[in-house]
Amino acid sequence: MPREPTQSDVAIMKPMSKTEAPTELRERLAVAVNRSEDNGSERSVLGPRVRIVGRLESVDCVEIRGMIDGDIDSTMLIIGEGGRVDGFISADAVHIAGTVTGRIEAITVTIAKSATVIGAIIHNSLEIEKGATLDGPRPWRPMSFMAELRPI
Amino acid sequence: MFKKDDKAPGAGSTTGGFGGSDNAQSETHRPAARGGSGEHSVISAGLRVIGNLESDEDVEVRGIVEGDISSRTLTVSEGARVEGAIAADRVTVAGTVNGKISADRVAISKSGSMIGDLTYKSLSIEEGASFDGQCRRSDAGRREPEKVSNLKPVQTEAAQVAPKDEPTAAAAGAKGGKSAAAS
Repeated sequence: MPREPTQSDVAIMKPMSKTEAPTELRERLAVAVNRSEDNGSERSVLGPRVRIVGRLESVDCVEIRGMIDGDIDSTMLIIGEGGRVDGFISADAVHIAGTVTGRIEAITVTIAKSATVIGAIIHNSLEIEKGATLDGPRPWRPMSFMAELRPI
Repeated sequence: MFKKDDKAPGAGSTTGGFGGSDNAQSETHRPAARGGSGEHSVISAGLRVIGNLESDEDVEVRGIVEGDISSRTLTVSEGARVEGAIAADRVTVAGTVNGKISADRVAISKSGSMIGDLTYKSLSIEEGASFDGQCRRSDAGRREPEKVSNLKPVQTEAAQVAPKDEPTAAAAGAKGGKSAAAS
């Protein structure tokens, strides 16, 4: 239930700049998503029967297949199919195949067709698979802006 | 759905499910595709959770949890830290726990450190482990302890969904007025 999206998506969408950061991030994200079958060691996995009420702060990759009721701050975040997040997400790279209600701020965002996202997505690079359910503004922002949101 | 399919090796030894605390749809047998580790949750070393975690599956903590944990088995690995109440069927402490533990089986290994009270049915403390607190044996085994952390559900909603507001001019003015008065 986003409160009146203040900016219209279309007006704000600009052609993507050719900075390397989002491209590299996107590749790393794709690798992380695809090796979800074998649990990498430096990865947090919150299974489908896990529920957390509270905040998550991570410098590793976090994969969520359960429910998180709270904010997440992570370098890389994967919200798997069936995963649910109610809260504010701030990350370098986010892949969403589950449900998110809340604002997302990430340099690179990829959204799978099984995803539902309700809320604004502030991004520098966004990829949406056909069939995804999205509601909210999705403004593009330059890397200089993203760097302010997420100091590296 | 309820059929006991195979003779799950050893798995049946623990009391299947606990309390009525969870509306678990009895024993979902994990799909083989996930290689059995599908329901095993890991809080990696780089993750810090500030809040309460609930699961009816196995949880391994290698990072930091500041809040209560309720799970089937809980492993607090070396280097990990939990500050809060733990309720589980089986708890292994190789890291640091500061709070309470209530579990059927509690094991504190030599690298483990536990400060707080224990309620257990079966307890093992390895030589070299650090334990400071009271132990109480209870045949009832796992009981939900009083919560240590008093975190409330996080307010997420409109404030998050709507784009950020600029700091209000009124607030800025009030601040300015105050500092001016002070000087």
